[in-house]
Amino acid sequence: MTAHEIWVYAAAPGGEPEPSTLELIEKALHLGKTAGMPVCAVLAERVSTDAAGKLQSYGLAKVYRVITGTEAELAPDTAAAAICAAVRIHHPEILLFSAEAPGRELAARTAAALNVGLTADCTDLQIDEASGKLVQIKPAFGAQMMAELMIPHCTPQIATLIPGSGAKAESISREQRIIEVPGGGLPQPATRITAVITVERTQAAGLADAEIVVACGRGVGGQKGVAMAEALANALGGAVGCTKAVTDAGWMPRDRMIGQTGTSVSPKLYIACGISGAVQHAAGIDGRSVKVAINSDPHASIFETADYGIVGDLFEVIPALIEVLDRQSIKL
Amino acid sequence: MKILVLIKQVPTGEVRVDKRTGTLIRRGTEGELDGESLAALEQALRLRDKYPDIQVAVMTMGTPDAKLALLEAEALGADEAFLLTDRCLAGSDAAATGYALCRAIQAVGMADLILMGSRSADAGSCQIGARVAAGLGLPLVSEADWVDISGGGLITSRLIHGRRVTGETALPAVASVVCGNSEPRILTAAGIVDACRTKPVTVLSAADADIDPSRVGLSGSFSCVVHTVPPEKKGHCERIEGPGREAAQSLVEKLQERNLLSRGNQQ
Repeated sequence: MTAHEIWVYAAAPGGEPEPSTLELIEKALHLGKTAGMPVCAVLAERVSTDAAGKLQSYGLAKVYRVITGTEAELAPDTAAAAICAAVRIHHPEILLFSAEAPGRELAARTAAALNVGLTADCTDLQIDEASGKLVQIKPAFGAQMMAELMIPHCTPQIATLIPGSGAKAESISREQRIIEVPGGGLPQPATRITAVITVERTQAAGLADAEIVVACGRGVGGQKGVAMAEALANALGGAVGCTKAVTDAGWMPRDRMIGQTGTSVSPKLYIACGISGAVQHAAGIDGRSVKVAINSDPHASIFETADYGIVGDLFEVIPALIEVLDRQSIKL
Repeated sequence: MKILVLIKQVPTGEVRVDKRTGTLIRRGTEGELDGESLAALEQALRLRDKYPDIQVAVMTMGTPDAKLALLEAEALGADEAFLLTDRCLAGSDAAATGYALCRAIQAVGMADLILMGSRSADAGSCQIGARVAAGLGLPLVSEADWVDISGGGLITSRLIHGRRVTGETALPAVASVVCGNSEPRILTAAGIVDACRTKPVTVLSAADADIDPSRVGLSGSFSCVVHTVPPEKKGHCERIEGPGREAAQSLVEKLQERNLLSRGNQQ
């Protein structure tokens, strides 16, 4: 029997709910209101912290807690088994994860273990008025269209939501209802962790989650143009990416390529330098990013999808931008 | 030792959608190898370069056109290829695809290590690794950017929230791969000739792989596309005119107003 509850997977390393979890809760509360379903969190913790109490204060009806003895990011198989154990006892109708580590992976493992449907990387979620089922909205086929999906015949309906643009739930105090799910008998992690090293976020590694991305197209003309774009990214504290044409020309390595066959980015600000606007490249950029296009061709199609456009020579505009930015940071 | 890489062809250029089912019309659509598929293949080929007794096979599920993707993988260095293709598989969601791939893997003989991209560029279901691992009862490592084999075990490394996590998993195992450390090798003319002349592409039907037709295709899928709509068009692009200096100054002011410039340049 399904419990008619909406669950969100709560990531709360160190006892503090992640911002993406608060965003997910806010979305779930909104869905819960429409569907008339209470919203609860499922929490898989290494050891007991006060995260459950903190989560509850965000307006949740209940928090289901499993103590796993392992950290979810380091033992995702054990964490997924814990979530499955809670689902098998309490049968939620809908189960939501944040589309980032470890949620994206835990959603896949949970859906596979329970043999139910999962829609990943949704940009929005709604409730279908007629059926009361979850509608999952995501860009598909290289962002050429938005698809609305449903999982009509099995529960829980599982989806992951891309974090970044939604409002976050606010703390409102409330009576506590924490339900312990027995964590005994969970499988041991299949992977023995041999090293965990904190790394500096290099520009390349940070491309996927950079807040500002400067991207080079064929119009940068070569290494000199790439170096200039890198300088702009530096001045902005952002990362540098490029189109397939640039990697094909050998001006930048493949790990900087943004687009359908490269990295997907979701910065708040994206600056296209000398990019004409191929669909395959655009597919790698979150539709919610604010886009600036700098191109010498006033008819380039990139201007059709940009928020701001400067028609001009990159070798004049970019150094001018760097100068303006430098001047301002000195003033501060 | 045998490594099987599950690869995927993704459409290039404009796609066509079946109005009735909301699924992609793959037949006749131009395609190329998915970026993370290439990364997974590159990791497998590097292991074979290091340990010459390793055999690298590739497998894809798709239309007969997907044979080209397999030939490309063979031209890059894969030893053999399997194409799972059948009309009854069209419209399968990720769960049904995972099931079909598991059956096909069992039909051609289990591999010691199964690799694939973690997220394909077109549908991006982010779950084939988990479906295959669960279906075959194997351990899974997700989103690895580096793999190695040592002492009969799989060594993987991945980046999670600014931490590099290295681990050891017993084989046989499944690992999904992300781009990062996997600059793919260059396709050579000799490789293409070698692939076309000497390397087999084995075609499997659903029946060959003992796939239950009721568990695949649209009717065998958990999820269905109820609607497709064009993405919201951006509003009018605000053109910023003037010579370089003035345009730059004006742009920075506009971005600052919207609080889009972080770090030291925020105010």
